[in-house]
Amino acid sequence: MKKTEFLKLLDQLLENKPGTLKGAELLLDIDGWDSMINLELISLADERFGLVLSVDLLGKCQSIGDIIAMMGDHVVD
Amino acid sequence: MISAATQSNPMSCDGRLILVTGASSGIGRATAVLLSRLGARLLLVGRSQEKLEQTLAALDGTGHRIEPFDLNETEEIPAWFKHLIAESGPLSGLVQCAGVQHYTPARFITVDKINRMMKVNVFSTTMLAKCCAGKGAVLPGGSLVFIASVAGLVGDAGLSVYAASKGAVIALTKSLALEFAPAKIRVNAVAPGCVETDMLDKMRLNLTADQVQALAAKHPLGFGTAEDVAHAVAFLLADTGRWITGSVLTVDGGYTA
Ligand SMILES: NC(=O)c1ccc[n+]([C@@H]2O[C@H](COP(=O)([O-])OP(=O)(O)OC[C@H]3O[C@@H](n4cnc5c(N)ncnc54)[C@H](OP(=O)(O)O)[C@@H]3O)[C@@H](O)[C@H]2O)c1
Repeated sequence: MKKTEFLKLLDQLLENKPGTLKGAELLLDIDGWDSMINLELISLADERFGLVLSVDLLGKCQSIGDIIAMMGDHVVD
Repeated sequence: MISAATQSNPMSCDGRLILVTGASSGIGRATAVLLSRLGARLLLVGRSQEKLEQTLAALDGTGHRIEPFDLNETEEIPAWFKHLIAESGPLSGLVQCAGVQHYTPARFITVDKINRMMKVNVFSTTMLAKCCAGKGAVLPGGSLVFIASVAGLVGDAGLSVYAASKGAVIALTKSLALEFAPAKIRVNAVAPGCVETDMLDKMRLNLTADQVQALAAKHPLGFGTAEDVAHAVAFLLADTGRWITGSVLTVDGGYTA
């Protein structure tokens, strides 16, 4: 999946206007980013990419860039 | 009437034909293994033929069969079941263990997610019950056991859709028990707490180490094993449960105490 598409998905989860997230944001600065988002990302990664993530792994992420990096080859520029 | 076999061992399932769904893994597999040791003949249902074969290899006795089937195919269940009974004869018992669990925070619920959870957890249970109500499907004295969950009794953040599905199974059990009683068929549910299976491994991914510890602490006897639940299911299937219908047996290490 293209990075732009993935950012759109995250915007959708956050109920943002498409294009709100640019990719470099710190999670702490994002309105509405909470622990429930991680639960949704775990099932999203599993269903879309067959990727096994955990709350502990996602908990290490500090930025949207870190989240994208977690998706490995499944999200590309 | 109590047979000679059950007089000497009230847990005996000697010669009884019992269908176990979810038999390819976890609680369903442990239940099938235990029931085979108690003398039952098993029909093993799940999607994975390979895993069903592994269960089959672990069974005692003979006369068991694997019946791979996707219970998401709700519309197909009656024809599949009819064919099964025509080939194998009437059932003495059914254990509906197949199920799925996902964390679904309320704001991320979609119709598709509700459907996926309900299809196997509720729709297939309901359709299997319908099939069991059919002529000659289940022998008098038969017993149906549905695996619900403590999630159907106690709340948990992020699990509302799963909880609703298990609450539905509990409600289904009670009404069916009354409807099936004249045919001398019992219907009960088992509501497990956290049990060490693939499902719990998946659930752990959604919890921090601290949350897992807190969850374990809510089970005064610790997390259970698939065998712990299997024992309760066998108790309800065998003549030990002959005066029990419409009940929900919590097997949860004290979670709901
Ligand atoms: N483990 C727990 O902590 C826990 C607690 C409370 C309640 N429960 C309930 O206990 C039951 C068994 O869970 P488990 O822990 O043994 O989980 P598991 O190891 O993940 O096993 C689930 C079983 O369901 C079967 N299944 C799922 N979808 C199916 C489908 N569409 N068609 C046919 N079979 C299907 C799977 O078989 P295939 O993959 O081969 O299809 C597998 O055999 C479930 O109803 C669950 O909700 C579990």
